[in-house]
Amino acid sequence: MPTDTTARLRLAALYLPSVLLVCVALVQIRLGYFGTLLTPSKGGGYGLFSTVDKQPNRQVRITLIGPSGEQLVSLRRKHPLERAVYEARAYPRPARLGALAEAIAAEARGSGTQAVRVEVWKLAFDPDTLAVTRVRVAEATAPTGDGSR
Amino acid sequence: MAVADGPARRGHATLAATLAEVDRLDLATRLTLILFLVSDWVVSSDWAFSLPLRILGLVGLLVPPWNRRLGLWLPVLACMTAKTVANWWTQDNHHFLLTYWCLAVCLALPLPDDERDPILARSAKLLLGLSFLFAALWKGVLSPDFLDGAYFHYTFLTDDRFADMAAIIGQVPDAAIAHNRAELGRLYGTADATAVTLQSTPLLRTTTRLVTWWTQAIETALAVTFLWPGRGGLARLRNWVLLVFAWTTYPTVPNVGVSFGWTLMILGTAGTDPDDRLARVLYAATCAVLMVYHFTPFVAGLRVLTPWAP
Repeated sequence: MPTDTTARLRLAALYLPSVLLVCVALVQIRLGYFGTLLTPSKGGGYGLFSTVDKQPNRQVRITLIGPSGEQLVSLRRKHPLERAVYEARAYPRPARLGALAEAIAAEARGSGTQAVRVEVWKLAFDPDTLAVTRVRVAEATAPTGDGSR
Repeated sequence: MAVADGPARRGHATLAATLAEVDRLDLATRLTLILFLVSDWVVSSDWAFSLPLRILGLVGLLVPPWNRRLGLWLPVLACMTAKTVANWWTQDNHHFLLTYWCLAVCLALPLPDDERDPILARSAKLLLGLSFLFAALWKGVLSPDFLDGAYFHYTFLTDDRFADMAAIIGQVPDAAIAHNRAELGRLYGTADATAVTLQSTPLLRTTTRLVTWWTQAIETALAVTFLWPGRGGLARLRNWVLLVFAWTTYPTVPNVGVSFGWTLMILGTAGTDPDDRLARVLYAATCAVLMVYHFTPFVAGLRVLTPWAP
């Protein structure tokens, strides 16, 4: 192997994996700390075991809005949108959450539901009072096109 | 009195001697390939990733020179990278770390023999040190609810997997955990519930603060010792700090041991100096201990033996 190729490979072997780690972690801090949507436990920034706001403690609430009021529903197991819901719990980006609401609204079309609201909630825990509260992280609403709201 | 030198004792001594003499690249790559075989979590439930990773793991272990051949590690890296990209926002940190490690192996393998192992060792130490630097940063600076003990207090009160440990360190009865789970179910399952109150014990409040400070201290120590330049000073403590971290952390979270813990043992092994034979034996032995934590009711047994646990 030519010497300059070896030197470049030596440098890459020594630093490239660590540089990647640092770049991914900094992006994760940007999104998880300054952006507030991404749970600190995901995204490769080493925030696991640091906060109650981890993915399993988040909830995606799907509400069907109709003329007779609102109804909280959950997706059946193995639903095609299960994966999208799982991702939304970790990182509810507005575009993805909007697309999820629209996909559920498309499924609800024709059932009398006028709109679908998808919310992502996280938990907060007060160690002094032992109170657990829900805090909304993100929300998206999509009309089904059935009637008017 | 002389101790009988029986076959079992001789067998253990031989195994330890063999492990000590195996070079760090051989041991670290083999531990990685074994991890692919024993951890469903690492290879994922998606057969498109788990099948090739397990086949590559088997080949690397059964055909010895292949555990250090670029021809095996390139497809391993391709699988790990594809898995990481596909699950970017949902996979845990150690999957990223394992992917960086596979990249480090692929980049080091083509190097001349006398450069490969020292460069891979430095890369492994950097990966370990930086991982714990960011972990300590999240816990100590960025997280709003770690240093006040909220994270561990909440986790021990609500996570079924921690119920036995909550009984041991906090005298929390199973009924309190069941109550807390039911309250969380009410919070999640109804539209109007926005807050619930958990049950705890004064002892758990105190011990979770100790666990919090211990975790912050040892993760900071890991960052400092693994990023410490050279072999002297605090760097001499790095293997022991990592081993103590594994021994004290993974009885509490055994499900993470045979994935994250094992990944740390791989990097620890790769980062050892050539004469750190004892550390390499202990890293390999710790992988076995992590299996015991994970696959046996170790903490439940500990609870039975703890006189004050309810």
